[in-house]
Amino acid sequence: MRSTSKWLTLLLTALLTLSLVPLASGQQTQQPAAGRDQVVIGLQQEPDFLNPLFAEMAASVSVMSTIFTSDVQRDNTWKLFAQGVTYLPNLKDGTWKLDGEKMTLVWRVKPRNWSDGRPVNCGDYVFAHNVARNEQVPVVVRDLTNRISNILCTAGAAGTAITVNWKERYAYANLTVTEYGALPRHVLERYYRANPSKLNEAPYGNDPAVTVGDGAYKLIEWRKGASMTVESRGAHPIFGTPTIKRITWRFIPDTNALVANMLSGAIDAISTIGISFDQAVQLEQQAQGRFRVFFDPGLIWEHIDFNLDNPLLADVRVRRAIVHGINREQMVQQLFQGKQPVSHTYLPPRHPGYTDAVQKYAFDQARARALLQEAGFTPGPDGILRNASGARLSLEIGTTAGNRVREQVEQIIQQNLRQIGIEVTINNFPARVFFGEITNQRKFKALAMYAWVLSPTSDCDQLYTSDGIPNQANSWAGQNYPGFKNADMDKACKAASREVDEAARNKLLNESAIIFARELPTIPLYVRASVSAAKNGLRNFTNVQLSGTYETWNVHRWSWQ
Amino acid sequence: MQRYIARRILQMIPIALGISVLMFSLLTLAPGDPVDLLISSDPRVKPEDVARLKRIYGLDQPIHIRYVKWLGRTVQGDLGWSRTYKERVTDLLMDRIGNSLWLTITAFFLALLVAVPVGIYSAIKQYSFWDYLATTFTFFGVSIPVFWFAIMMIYLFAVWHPWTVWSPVAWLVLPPGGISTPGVGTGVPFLVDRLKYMLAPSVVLALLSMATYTRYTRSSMLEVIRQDYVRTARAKGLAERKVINKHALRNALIPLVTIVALSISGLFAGAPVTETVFAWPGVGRLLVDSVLGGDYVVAQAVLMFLAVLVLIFNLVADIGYALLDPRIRYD
Amino acid sequence: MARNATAVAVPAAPEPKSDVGEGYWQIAWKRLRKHRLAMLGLFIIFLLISASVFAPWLAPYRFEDIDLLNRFAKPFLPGHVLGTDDLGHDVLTRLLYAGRISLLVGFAAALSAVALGTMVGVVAGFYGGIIDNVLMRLTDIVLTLPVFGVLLLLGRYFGGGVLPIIAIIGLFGWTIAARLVRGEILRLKSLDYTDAARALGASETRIIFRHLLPNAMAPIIVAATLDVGGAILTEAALSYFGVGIQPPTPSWGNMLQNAQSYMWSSPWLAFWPGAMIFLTVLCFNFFGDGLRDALDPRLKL
Repeated sequence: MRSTSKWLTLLLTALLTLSLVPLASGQQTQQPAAGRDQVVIGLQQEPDFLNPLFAEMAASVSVMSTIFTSDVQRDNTWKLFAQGVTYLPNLKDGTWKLDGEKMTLVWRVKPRNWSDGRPVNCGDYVFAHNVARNEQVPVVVRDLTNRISNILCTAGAAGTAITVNWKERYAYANLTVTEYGALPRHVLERYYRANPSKLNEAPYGNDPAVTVGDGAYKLIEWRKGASMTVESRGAHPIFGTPTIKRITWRFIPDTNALVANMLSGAIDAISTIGISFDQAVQLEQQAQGRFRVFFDPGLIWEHIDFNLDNPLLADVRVRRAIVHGINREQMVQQLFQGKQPVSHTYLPPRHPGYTDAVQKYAFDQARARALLQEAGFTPGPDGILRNASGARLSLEIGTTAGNRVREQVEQIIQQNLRQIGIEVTINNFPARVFFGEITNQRKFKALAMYAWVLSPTSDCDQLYTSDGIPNQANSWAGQNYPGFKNADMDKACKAASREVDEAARNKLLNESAIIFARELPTIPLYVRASVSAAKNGLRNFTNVQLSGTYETWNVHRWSWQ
Repeated sequence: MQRYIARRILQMIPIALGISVLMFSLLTLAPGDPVDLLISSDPRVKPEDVARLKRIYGLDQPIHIRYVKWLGRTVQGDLGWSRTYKERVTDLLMDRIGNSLWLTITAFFLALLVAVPVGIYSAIKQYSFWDYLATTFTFFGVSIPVFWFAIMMIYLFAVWHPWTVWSPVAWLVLPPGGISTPGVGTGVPFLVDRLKYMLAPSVVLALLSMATYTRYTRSSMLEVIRQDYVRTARAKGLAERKVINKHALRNALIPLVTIVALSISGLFAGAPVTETVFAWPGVGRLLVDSVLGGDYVVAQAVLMFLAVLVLIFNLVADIGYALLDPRIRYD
Repeated sequence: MARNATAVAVPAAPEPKSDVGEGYWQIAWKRLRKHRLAMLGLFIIFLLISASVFAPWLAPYRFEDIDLLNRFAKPFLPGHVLGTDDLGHDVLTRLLYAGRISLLVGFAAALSAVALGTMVGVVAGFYGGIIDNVLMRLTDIVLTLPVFGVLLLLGRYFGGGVLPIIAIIGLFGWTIAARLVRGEILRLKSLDYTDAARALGASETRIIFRHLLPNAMAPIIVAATLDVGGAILTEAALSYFGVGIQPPTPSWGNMLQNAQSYMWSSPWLAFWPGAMIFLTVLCFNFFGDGLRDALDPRLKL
């Protein structure tokens, strides 16, 4: 038995030694985690790639705004400002010219260098555009690229004057010079010439040594699966000299771990691409004044599409009754403490085209019952309504399986609607099936719940226009999943997407919102809040979550108190 | 022996091929490639974009051609490129294997260090209180849902830690997940930091193996001490300790070698749950993420890696058994 | 005529068959009764099954009842003994109903796995030759598969419902039973009485069902019992990863998965379902272990 006891002694000694090592040093949870010139941010996703051409994840966009300069950027109030260009082209001074169906925009780029010292010039813009246009390159989105006919360097390739000719009218042409802006031709061209179809496998955007950008910071380290660090480039002609020298993103896929890291002070902030709403609420309960948790309604709109091909839902009175029958106000109060407000139209309140002057459907069971009776429904023996031909008012609702909040909402709706005699059955699908088949091929029987991630430039073209109804013939293109057909809506939406004057465009969008709320192709539920958190001492941190703008948009102005 | 090993390796090839065909078909025939999903996630993506991407990625070709191409590249050591991680799969896999090894090796030794002494003691003192305790523990070990145990550990050590009110142990607060603190440095601080992150997941991972090893050690020890040569040794008047150490132990551990070798691959395969709950960026987590995230190039690579691992350790187990047990001969 | 002849002429089987002497099962039962842990396991399993079957009568609430004004009620308070969850569901009620699903999946999956395994084992062992070779290579392949990954994958495509989950778990859980049964069949086949039956003109089906299967019953039963626990764990793990049983159908696994988001404020939500899984699996293992000792102590499982 001696050897056994020896082992045991050894084991015990080892354990004891371990227990004497101070494993967790008592961190001052209000102090910066890494030093007064550093910030550590918790990110729930790891960026996929830091090459604007191929980056698909929000986390990448968030990181890229520190190492690249955007042509035009939005601030935390969603206002546009020129970042990498000297002005926004506009119709008044002729920098944006309309020529029948075609357009021309004249830009001037602010002088700045790539992080390897070479100047950013017109040639870099032309190069990026040509790469994106190449059929062989696996760029995913080419929406703008396809609308542009050509780019001219009016002061030569080494100059900073750029003229962009558009094939067609496009309302948001002054939000970016080209789809992907400037890319360092002197670094990327080599990989591009070698194999355009494998450009996404090149080390650019992956390896810090070759990932040169034109932003305030440069990538210095990327430990896959763990963290990523960028370092200030010092004085920058656009951003000045940032106070924060280094920013580290720590990838913590488990949201509970993210919360714990914030509580222990190991990270200074949680990105908007971080924790769920429920977890943010719990975090706020435990903050004890050490850090702030932000909740701001954003542009993610949760809703339930009606399938308008379902005969039970064809009558607008039934749709209105259903919306009257759902206690959305109580739902957002109880589930979200009112921090994610009820929506009444398809545009979120902060969208420029939003209007409050739309028909609203308050929780009103009496009104709902009356509407259903008007539409010819009478209660059957089981308490469920039936129409004249005897069909039960039973609706199937589906959403993405595993999304807890949506599952909660489904169950609340099920209970709410049962009280006015409507049966709701739940049938959820994994996200890939739900979005890959059920919604986009319009296979949902009655109700489909999901969210649209909108941007300040989103409109209703394709979303609620009749040519946006997906079908076999158009290879399931378009986002009009309810199958909504309305001539007035078509007119307003089509006009809005082509209207270059912002005021006129917003008026058209207001009009479309009014039609939407009257006809109800979709149940508007609520607008999701973007949530983030930061230590009290971190100055100028703002909670932003737009399609291209995240909390890092003003990182060069952050500092510690 | 060499001929035996060669034959065994040859036998592995058709099995590995069979598995690869099965996995490849399962993964490829599944509806909705990630490329298809692009269209519904971003309104700016058009059907022609999807068609173009499929052509570039070779997804428009029939499955058998894709399989042959995959096989050709794989035997040359090229596992492809991950479209979600934007990285070469070989690099990705190597990186994750490294992380997994930290956990797997620690868990493995933790399991052995506890199981062997406990199993032996339990066998020597059969039907004693400690034996019952150990046996019951093995039942707990094989019955506990790993993810629940992991969650409870996180709750206890990272969220609740009630002992922190007592200052001598106030430091015992473990991170709820992850692999290291950013910017921790190198050398000793790195190891201490790594240890802190590894403690809970390696205990969780070790538990199942610990229970299995204990069971096997106990039963094989029980078998051995009833054998004649042990009785003879005792009858000769040798001290009990010597009998156990010199005669029984060695023979009792032979079957354990097999079990241990077989279970190493199991440790790897059993890690997905532990690694996911503790957010440990290892192979298991990669498997879960790639399968659930639809990155089938990575999923195929990880699944094949795990299958080959099982094949190799099966062989190692057999060879080890043959080497240790003089009664077995191969030619 | 042939029937009587076989019954008489067949030499004594290694273990008396059930129709010849009831002694074997009686002895096993006696042995089992002495196994305290096994009896405890059996008793708790019985309680759990009854609780699930009578859930509608036992549960204090209906399982779909939600109460938005009483979310996250703490346990051990009047009204909701085990507290309420994020929608104000009574946790005790949910546990009882979830038990129905989890136990159903456990039993059905184990049963289908063992049935499939028995079939493969019998065919392989009885016919031998190329059939045996092919079936055993197939078994090798399935045994080598990283089963959890494959289950996740299949769960992702077909998961969600109770039936698909049972089918998926059953489809990959048959290998152990197949090997056991094959071994047993090979052993029995080598004994005289099979040859005797064959010589007397008994059909293959008859040999398999009258002579081989009944005598291979012991390992099959033990494997099935131990498999129930395994299947419950697998279902819970799949549900935990979101590809198992989908809410609003409650299962212990998806209750646990759901509870994980509320660990900071309501940790008890994660405790109960996990504890139920643990208890159930533990009891099946206790019982299975006792059963093995009672039926066939030589069995290595």
